[in-house]
Amino acid sequence: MPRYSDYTTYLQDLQQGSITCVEMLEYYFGKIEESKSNNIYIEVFKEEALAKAQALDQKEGPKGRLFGMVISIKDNICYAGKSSTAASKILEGFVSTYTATAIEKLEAEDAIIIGRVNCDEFGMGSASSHSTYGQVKHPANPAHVPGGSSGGCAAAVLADTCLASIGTDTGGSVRQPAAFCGLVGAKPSYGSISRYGIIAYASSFDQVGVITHQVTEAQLLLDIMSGVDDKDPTTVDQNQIAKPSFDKQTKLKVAYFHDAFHSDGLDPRIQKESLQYLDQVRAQGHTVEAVPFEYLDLLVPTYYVLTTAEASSNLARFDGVRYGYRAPDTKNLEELYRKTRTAGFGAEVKRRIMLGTYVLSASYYDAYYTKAQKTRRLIADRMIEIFDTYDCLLLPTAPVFPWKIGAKMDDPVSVYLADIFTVLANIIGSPAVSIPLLSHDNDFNVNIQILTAKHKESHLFGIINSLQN
Amino acid sequence: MDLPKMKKKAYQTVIGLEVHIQLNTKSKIFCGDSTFFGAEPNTLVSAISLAHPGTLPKINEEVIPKAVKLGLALNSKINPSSTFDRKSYFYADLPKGYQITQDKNPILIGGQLTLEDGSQINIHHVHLEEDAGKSIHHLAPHKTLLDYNRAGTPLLELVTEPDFRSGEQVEQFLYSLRQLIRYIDISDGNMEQGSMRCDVNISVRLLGDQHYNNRCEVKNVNSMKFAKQAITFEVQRQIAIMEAGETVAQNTLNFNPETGETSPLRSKENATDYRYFPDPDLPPVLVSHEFIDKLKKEMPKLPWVLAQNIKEMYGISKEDTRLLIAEKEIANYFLDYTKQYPHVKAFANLLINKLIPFCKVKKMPLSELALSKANLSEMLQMVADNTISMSAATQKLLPLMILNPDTSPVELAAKQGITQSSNKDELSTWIEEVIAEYPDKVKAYQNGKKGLIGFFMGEIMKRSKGKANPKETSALLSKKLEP
Amino acid sequence: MQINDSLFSKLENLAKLDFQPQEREKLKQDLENMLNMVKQLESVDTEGVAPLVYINEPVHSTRPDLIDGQLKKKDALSNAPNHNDDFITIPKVIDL
Repeated sequence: MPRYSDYTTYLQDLQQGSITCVEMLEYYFGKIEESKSNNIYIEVFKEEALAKAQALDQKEGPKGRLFGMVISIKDNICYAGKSSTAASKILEGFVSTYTATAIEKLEAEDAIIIGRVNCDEFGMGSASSHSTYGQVKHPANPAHVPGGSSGGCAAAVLADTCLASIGTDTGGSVRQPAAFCGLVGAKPSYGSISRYGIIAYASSFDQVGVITHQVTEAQLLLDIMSGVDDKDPTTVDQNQIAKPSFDKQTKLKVAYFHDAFHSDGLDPRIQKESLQYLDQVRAQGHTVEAVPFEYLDLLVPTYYVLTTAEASSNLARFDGVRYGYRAPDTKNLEELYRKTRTAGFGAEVKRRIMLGTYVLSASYYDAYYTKAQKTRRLIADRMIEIFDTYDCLLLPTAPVFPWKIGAKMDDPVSVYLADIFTVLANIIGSPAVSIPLLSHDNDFNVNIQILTAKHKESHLFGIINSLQN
Repeated sequence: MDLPKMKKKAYQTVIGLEVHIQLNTKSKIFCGDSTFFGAEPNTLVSAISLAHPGTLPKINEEVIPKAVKLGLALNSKINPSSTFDRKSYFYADLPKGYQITQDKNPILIGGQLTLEDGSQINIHHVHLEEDAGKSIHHLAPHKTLLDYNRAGTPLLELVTEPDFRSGEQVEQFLYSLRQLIRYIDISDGNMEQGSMRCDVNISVRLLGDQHYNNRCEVKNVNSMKFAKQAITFEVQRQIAIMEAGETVAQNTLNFNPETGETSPLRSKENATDYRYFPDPDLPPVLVSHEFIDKLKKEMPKLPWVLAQNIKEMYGISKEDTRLLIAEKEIANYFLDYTKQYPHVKAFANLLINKLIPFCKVKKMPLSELALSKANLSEMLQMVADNTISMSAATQKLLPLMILNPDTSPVELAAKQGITQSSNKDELSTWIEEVIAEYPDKVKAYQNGKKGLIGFFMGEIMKRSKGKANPKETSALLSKKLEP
Repeated sequence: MQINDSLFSKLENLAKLDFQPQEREKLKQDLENMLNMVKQLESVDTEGVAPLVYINEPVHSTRPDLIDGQLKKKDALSNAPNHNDDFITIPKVIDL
């Protein structure tokens, strides 16, 4: 059991003086030591975090909304004066000159950033196995993967090394590891949180997300990080995420896709418990209806065409010239590029760069890239229709439970297909929260995702509150 | 290369241009680095321009009105929603591995510029993009040095239709375009510093042919003279190939200003696949009707409009008009004068022959000249009144006026005794003195050697120290010389 | 979809990556599998559908023309694997 699994209790203890920020931090430092074998932390910001905790303990006057909350960040988020490598050898030695806007906002509310955690290289993966720092292990069951790409974030929270962790979610990279670790994973609408300082994987999909024990903490963190940022022209003005949106007694109209709950790849226990959950929602008096959705099988293809294309371009800047790793002893520029990138990127990243390069090349652009962009619009339009009628959509988070380390490495396509339920929210830019269902003592949790229309986060959290009643 | 002395057939040259115009903003197109020219290397850079991980572009609001102003001047269609694309290729001075440009959906579409020879050059489109940094190959023996100060400088790339038929037309176009961008204040147009650079696409076809042959692109031509030289060389080269019965290969060429020749550049360039796709980091550039209307009202008079006005209103020659409108500063100076003062034609001559050359030598702008327009007008009035000769005015009075800007020209002329005399008594005295001194010459004149009048005039001028009004003197002299 | 050697080499050249012979065969197979998976898109009727490029309704988002955020030269150069006092350096570019 974690020392604290919610911020309110911790804050009360802080206020009563039964714990200090420094003591809390020392406790987490101890836990980081204890869980070292799980390969979660790449770097602990010991000095800076302690200095901040000491300052907070001395602080007079008004306190921030995250006063003393200890938070870890994924290694693809920039932090001034610290290395940030996206778990890639190609960024070896790179030190950021600035801090990501989202993290600046957390710090401004008196949060303490404890360190950066492991993940899949450039956020590409779903097991935290594609990392130059090696595999992250599931803290509750180290023979298994913690999910990915923000597997280090989920593991850090589950291992009780921080109260919350900030990750990124391009196709489920926050929600899936949160689900694998039985935690809450939340991704806001596209444009809700600034991407400035987030090492880009796929620019039109990437969003900052959070992994927490409680939904309320996820809501609070998203609320603080969201808002228009001068440095990111894709950010939008939206209603406050933390604003209470409706009465708990409201009866909801809930949609689900029949095929999503009856697909071949779905683990039988996940199917059983998910269907039970639908019944349970019905029993609460809400309307739960299957809606037709002809694009389910097209989600993964659409996602992979567009994200690999964007990734092949976003990762072109890693060339060994201005920062990071440079291959030794190269005779000319061409050799410098090729040797650096060949040695600097891992196999999965190179695979996606090659696919992305292919779909963007002149002869195939229309057949793949344009086609996928058009399909993306059809999917988005269909979802707008659904959300016009229904308050939310329920989807399983992952079709399978955390697999054993080393399994599933061979066929990338079967790994990609496991993203089927999480990529939808990124394709349409809507918010999505994954929450664990029944907890099992000696087994992995089944989780459910709740999605709403874009920029309806306060509504989404209201719905979850209502469903959890 | 051996060039054939006589061509077997008649050919037509077909040329299209791609002109890069560096916009004169304070900061770069997608980040806050300064665009100052000539700074220490790598001092005008940021995490964004160096493409550090996690950074994002955001468009500089000033580039939009500058692009729209060019569109208004060229009669282009202004795109209400233009978009940015990424153009991917690896090069050391291209930090992101792609250039942000506008491929599918540029900010300006179509338009024309009319040349002095009356022919019209159609513009295909004009798009916004960012410049690359600089690779320096000659400073260190085994290394290439990289300076990213220029990386991200805002550019407009103007692409013409293949409407040029000669190097002269290209030269005229570049001259007019540079003049235009300076008038509308979107660029300093300085070709030596690379603020205006041009790629020239050249092909040759048989006269009368409708189709275009393979073209060669000459890259980075950085002066009008070089553009003309490159075209001359390239046209001869291509004709020689065609005369030999062969086909010109499509190619990218480099121009060597020292030899005046072109040579193939990066042969791999032709095979490059730039993988253009819309940049998801940058929302479209939105331009509203209201915004365009507001800019329309702020547009200055364009050089060709001014030229027409000046020619028509003041009867000034085409050549002089060209000089008066060459630069916006001169044109404004001239037009300011015309608004308040008379003797416009004389003023135009004064400006062209004296004031502009003077300022050029002193390397100062006209506006810093210590000569008020009121004083210049007063001076020209004196010339008109025959109070002073034009040569005395420009050679003697003008320098005095510069030294004594607060004293009136009339006073200065009087004080220095350079006012010319029309006083009949005074003139008669000088004339009679001369007639008395040269009786032989008077006789010769009276016997028909009329050319001697010049001699007498010269003597009178000497005696009067240049003050004698030539017109009056000449009339009086003729009368007195009559037998 | 067949990925032949010349197409594979073209992709390597565009992406500036090199693959050893056995990696190459594996990756060619992976790419073919991925493209087969992606092929399902062909079945979608997208006639008259505009590509979705911008996820949110585009807003006019510009930056004032101000100088801001420049790095000191030392900080700009210090991240580079190879540099001197003024420049980032690379092996001499002969021809690319």
